[in-house]
Amino acid sequence: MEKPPPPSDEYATPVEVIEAMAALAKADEARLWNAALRLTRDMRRRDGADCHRALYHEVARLILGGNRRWPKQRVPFPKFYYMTMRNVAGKWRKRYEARREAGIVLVCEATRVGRDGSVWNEAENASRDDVRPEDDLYFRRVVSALRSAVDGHAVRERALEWMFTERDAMTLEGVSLESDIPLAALKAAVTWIRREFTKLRAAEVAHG
Amino acid sequence: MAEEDAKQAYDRLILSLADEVMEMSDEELLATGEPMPEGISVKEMLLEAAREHPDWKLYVMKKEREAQLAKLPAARARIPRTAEGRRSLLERLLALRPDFGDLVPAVQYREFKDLPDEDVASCLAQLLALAEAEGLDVGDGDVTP
Repeated sequence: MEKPPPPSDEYATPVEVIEAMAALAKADEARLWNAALRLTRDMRRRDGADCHRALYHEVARLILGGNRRWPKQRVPFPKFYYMTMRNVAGKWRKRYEARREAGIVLVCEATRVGRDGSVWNEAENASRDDVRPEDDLYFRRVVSALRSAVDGHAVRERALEWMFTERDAMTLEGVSLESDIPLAALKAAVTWIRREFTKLRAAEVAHG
Repeated sequence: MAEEDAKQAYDRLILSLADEVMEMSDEELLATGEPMPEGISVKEMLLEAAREHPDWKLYVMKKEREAQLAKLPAARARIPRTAEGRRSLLERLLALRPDFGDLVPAVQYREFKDLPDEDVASCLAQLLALAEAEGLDVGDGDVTP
């Protein structure tokens, strides 16, 4: 017997999207603020402007322009906004890697529309003048330092492995069931890793 | 760890840390999240982008209409819940007092069937307020002279 087709999504109109933006609760604003900071933590722009602000704008434009459509009955708006931010930041990161290999460091992109209607992408105007060769080693140093930091602590080791390799395939609850480690201990380990990462990041910035 | 694996691990770590924020309770967020700087509003940044969109004007008009409706609480309470009920009540009201149609521009210049549902609700609120002022008996979504 054939499965019935899934219920079709009803997508929000631009006016409904704007209404959802205007109705964002304070707690959701704080969540999106912190999430954007984390997604763009190691990104920077040549003009010194904040990448997370560019991310808010880029995502808003994509959703309002219909490039990303909000299935309003299925997904709460803050969650949908976050998932789109995550996706866009991931693309920026991938392009960053490609550019970095070509000697370009600008990461953060934003689509711009000129008064004459011309469209360009800021990152395409990136210069090769800002190359920092140490960037190539940064991510390797961080991954290696985190592995050393959790070494010998079974719960933190498991939590870090999950964050490094399994995050999209398994929930933390799943890891808890599979490994017989209490969920609260795993959550505490994730928090510890985040703090350790923040410290490593601060040390990197301090060293220029 | 191979270079490519390290890159992927690092990217997944970044995503994990961002996901963690979205899964936090309000209390956890308050305790561990970075506080938003004074004067910064994510909502305002999103609306800044929205103001560039052609439908921003439609949004503003809708808000104005809703504000008008909110000023008519007594009449609003009598508006039927369904779009069909509202349209039917407006039709009967106008049949009873055709002169009311001249008082509401949305009705005056358009074919009744062309009125969008939101305009029907707005017109109805205004006309129910008029009906009340003129002593017409307006029951539960019904109108009798």
